Amino acid sequence: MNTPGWFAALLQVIINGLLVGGVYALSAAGLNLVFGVLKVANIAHGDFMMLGAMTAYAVSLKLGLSPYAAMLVAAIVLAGIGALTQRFLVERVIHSPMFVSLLLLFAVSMILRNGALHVWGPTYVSLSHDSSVWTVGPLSFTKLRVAVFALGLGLTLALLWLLQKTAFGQSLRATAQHMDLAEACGINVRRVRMQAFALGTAIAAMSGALLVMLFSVNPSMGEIFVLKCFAIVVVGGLGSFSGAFAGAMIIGVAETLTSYYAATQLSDVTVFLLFLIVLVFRPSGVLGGKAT
Amino acid sequence: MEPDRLLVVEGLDAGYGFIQALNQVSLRVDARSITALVGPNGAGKTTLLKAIMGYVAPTAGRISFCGQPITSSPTHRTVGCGLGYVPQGRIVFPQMTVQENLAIGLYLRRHDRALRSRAFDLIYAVFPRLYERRWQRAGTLSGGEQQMLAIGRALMTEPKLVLVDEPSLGLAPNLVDLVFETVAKLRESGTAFLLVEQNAVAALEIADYAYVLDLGRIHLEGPAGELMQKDEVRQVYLGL
Ligand SMILES: Nc1ncnc2c1ncn2[C@@H]1O[C@H](COP(=O)(O)OP(=O)(O)O)[C@@H](O)[C@H]1O
Ligand SMILES: [Mg+2]
Repeated sequence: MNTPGWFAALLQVIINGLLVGGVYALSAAGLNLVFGVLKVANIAHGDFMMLGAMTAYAVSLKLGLSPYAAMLVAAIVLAGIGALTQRFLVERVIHSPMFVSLLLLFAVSMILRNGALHVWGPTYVSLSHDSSVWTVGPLSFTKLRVAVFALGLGLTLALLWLLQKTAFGQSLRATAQHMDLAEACGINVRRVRMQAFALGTAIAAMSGALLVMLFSVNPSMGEIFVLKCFAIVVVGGLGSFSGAFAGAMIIGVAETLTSYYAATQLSDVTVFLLFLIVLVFRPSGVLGGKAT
Repeated sequence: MEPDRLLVVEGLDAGYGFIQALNQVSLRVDARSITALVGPNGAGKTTLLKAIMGYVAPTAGRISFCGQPITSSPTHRTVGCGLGYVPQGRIVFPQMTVQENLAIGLYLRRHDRALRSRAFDLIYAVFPRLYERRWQRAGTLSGGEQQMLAIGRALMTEPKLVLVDEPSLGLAPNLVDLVFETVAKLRESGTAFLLVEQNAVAALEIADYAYVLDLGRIHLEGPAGELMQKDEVRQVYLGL
């Protein structure tokens, strides 16, 4: 094979970006779900990701579980925390203007982040557990990245299946599209809001647990990841699941391209420049933004 | 209490903050009947339906349905007792297809397969237009089609009583006729209706009993045929 070196390198960088994008897609889908059903921008989403990552790390270390089993434990724990947060905090301000729930979740975010810093300290942890590599011509993939991508993608598709094909998904979509009409169909929208928030937090936890397999993270990780998720959701078009998927891939690739060809410190600059450009010139998102 | 008294509203007060929209409203709907609720814009008709449904919390009074108190009970529970609601303004789930909208209407009884096929057959027979458009997104339907869908959706679980808010508003005349014919036909098969209408003449023509609501109070009531003959009603509310 006669692939020029620069081209193989470019391809490799793009593929690495797409592989990270799988986790971003999952995380953004959770944020989108909560926004769609509750009309609440969950600014604590990144901290739920962090709690998922730290829980998976702690459970894996203390109980000797595999990182994948630890991910499931983190999802269940965080679903519970999410359900309580919604039922006792968010639900009380659900009919208030949006900035009220935003401030409330900002407070939740601060408490979770600084509480976690107190418990775990600022040191970085990782659950990286497999460094073997597949080689295809000039390209190489770490098996771990491929596995994490496949899980992120699989869980995102599972969520879409749940939304489109089950009665539970039907109640979520109905509540998202018209809350009062959903009630007139006999749907208990208070319960649906709690289920949606719990599911969104469980998804955040799973994406956090997948990230800690790829990168080293610490209790402050939520700060940057929540903003990245918002960037993805806006780039894809608010409320659109296929858009968020495209947004995740675009952001993943933009990040790795910048790190490789410019400087790692600039990767967030690229991400938020993209975010700004889409917000100003194409506010309905790259795919035109269709709500699901 | 008489057994065929489906809905009883007694001394209801309700409003929005400082605005009192309903003042001591009492009303009843008998089984298998059409009851019309007419009155000018802003009279409080929609508010009364919303209070019955549980969207607006009453500040005084009682509501019961099938002998059960439902004052301030959550909407989904009241719906579960057999109350259907067609809100004002052709409300549908815009991103869902016609078929999905009707399927959601069945939500509470989605495991009842016999009902599912019976209900779809009935609605598509009454509104063949909806059958033609069953794979189309509801948001892309015409206004008349959306109104048919809104009515169809509310009928899917075979409710005992359906509250219908201004079904003819903004519809073409032939569709208005279809809507009133449909209501009359379904009453024959045992469904009761509380019909809110600006188009008071058409409503009184198919109704058994009627109430005139004005400025949040029940102004007049009686058998629909008698009300139609009253000079006051004809001049003030029917414009005849
Ligand atoms: N959401 C609301 N907030 C405040 N006032 C309202 C609201 N909805 C209706 N009203 C007021 O309540 C009164 C009754 O309104 P409504 O029940 O919609 O009347 P109708 O359906 O007979 O036209 C009106 O004065 C109206 O302005
Ligand atoms: Mg009205």
